[in-house]
Amino acid sequence: MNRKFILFFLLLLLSSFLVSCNKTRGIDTSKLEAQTVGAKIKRSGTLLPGGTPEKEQRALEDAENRLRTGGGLLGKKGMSLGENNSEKTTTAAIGFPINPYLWKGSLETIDFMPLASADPFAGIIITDWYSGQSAPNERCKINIFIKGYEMKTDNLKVNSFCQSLSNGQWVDIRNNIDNDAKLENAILNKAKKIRLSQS
Amino acid sequence: MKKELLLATALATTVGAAGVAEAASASYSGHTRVGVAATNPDSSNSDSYGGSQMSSLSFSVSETTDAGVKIATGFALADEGTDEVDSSGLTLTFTDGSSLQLIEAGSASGAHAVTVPGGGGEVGITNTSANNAAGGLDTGTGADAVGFDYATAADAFGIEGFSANVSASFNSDVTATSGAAGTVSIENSYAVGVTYVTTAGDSTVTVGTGYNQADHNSETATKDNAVFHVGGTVVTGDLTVGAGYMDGDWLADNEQMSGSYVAAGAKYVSGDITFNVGMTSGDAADESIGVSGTSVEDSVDVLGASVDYVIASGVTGTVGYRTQDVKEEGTDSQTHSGSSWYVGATVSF
Repeated sequence: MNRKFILFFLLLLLSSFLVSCNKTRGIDTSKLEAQTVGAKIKRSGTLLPGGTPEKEQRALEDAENRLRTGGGLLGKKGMSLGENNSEKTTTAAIGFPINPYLWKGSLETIDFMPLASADPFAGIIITDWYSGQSAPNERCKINIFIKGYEMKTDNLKVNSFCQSLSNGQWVDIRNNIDNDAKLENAILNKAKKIRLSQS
Repeated sequence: MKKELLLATALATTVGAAGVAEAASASYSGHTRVGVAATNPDSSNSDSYGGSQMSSLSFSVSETTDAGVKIATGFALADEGTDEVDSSGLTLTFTDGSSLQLIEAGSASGAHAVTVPGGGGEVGITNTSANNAAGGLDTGTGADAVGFDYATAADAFGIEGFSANVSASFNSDVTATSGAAGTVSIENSYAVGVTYVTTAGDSTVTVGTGYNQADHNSETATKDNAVFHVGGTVVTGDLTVGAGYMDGDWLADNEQMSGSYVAAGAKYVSGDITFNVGMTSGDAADESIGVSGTSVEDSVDVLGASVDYVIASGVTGTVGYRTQDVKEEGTDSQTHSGSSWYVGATVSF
C-alpha cells in the first residue's frame, strides 16, 4: 500500500512536469469540464445507464467515443422517437435558440394587443399600450422574454406595466406579479396546444 | 374571454392553469465495439486471436413538467460478455440542474472517479476469476437497487467548479448467510463523492474523490465494504495526464478483500488521432469469508498503449497493445500474464 501511495504522488509530480512542458493551443479553460466518470457520461449524451461499476464502465466507453468523435451516427443523443426532432428543425437557426412554440404561443395569446416590436432572434416581444373596453381609464403594456430552447416555465418571462388615468395624467400602477404568472400560464398552455396539434 | 385578458387594472382573467405536461419524448442510442483481439501468454500456451464484438442498446423516455422537472427512465440491452437487460431506474432532473436518481441508482462514489487515460481496446488476455485484485478506482462501490443518488448542480454551494453526489441504498431483509462459503449480498450502503474542477494557468485541473461504505448479509464476514478513491487530471491544450488511487476493504461472491489500486496515464490529441498510454496496478489480499490475515496478495499490473483514429461522427478505429503481469496468491500466473493486441472499431449511434 505504501509503495503505491509513493508511486501515486510521484505520478502526480510527473503529471505536473509534463503539463508544464506543453504549450496551450487555444483551450477554453472557462468551460471547466471535469474529467470524471459522471461528468463525461453526462456531457456525452449517452443513454446507457449506470448503477454498477460494470455498467458505468460500459457507459463511459460509449461516452468517451461520443466525446472524441463529436457524437454518434444518429446525433449527440441518439435517435429521437417522436416530435423532438421536428422541434429542433423549427428552431431559429440564427440568433438565440428560442423555443418556437413559446414564440408562437406568445404572439397568439396577445394578438389583440398592438405590437411595438417583436424580435424572433432574441426572443423579445414588446407590446404597445392597450386599454380594454371595460376600463378605458386604464392601460397596460407587456414585455415577453423567451429565454431558451426548451419549452419550460423558466424559459418564459412576462413583465406587465399598467397605468391609470388620473386628472388627465397616466400614473403607474404597482405591478401585479400574480397577473404576470397567469399570463405566463396562458402562453404555456397555448404553446402546448400548438405543439400537440403539430405532432 | 381570452381577448379580455387585460380587464381593468389586472391582466388577470384566469385562462387556465398549466397543469398538463408537455408530450413525452423517447430516444434510443447505443454502441457496438467490433474487432480482433490477440493474446501472447507467457506460458507455453500458443498464441491465439479471435473476433470480439460487444454491443449495447439503450432506450430512454423522458418528460418535462411545467415546473421544469425532467422525468426520465429507460432500459438497456447489452451483449457484452454476458447477455443483460439493465434497468436505468427513474431520474428526476430539477430546474437548478440537480438530479435525483431513484432505483438502480448506484453509488455516489464511482461517478466522481477521475478518468485516467490508458490504453484502449478490448482485453485480449484475460484474467482468472480467482484473482481478486482491485480492478479500478470504483472497486467495491456496490449498492442495492433500492436506493437513491442525489447529484448537486454544477457550482454547488456557491463554489465554482464544485459538485457532489450523495447516495444510499437499503435492503435490510436479505436472508442472512453464515460460513466461509456463503455468497454475500449488500444490505445497506452509503456513499459520497465530490469533484472540484478549476484552472491553473492554462490548465484545467480536476480532482475527484469518493467514499463508499456498505454492510452485507454475512454473519461470518469480518469486513464490510469501506473503500475510498482519490485522483486528479490535468488538461492543457491537447495533452491530458491523470493519476488515481483507491484503497479499502470489500466483499465479493464468497471472499473478502483488502487491497489497493493505482492508475496513471497520458493522452495526446493530434487532429483526428489520439495517442493513449497508461499503467494500472491492482492488488488484494483475498480471504475466505470470516478468515483474516491468512492470505498473500493477488495482483494485476498492466501497461498499455493505443491509438484512436476518428473515422466519422460516432466511429473510432482503435489499435491497442498491452502487457499484463498477474500473480495468484503471490505466485506468477504465466497463463494469464503476457501481451495482447487489439484492432477494431467502436461505433456509437
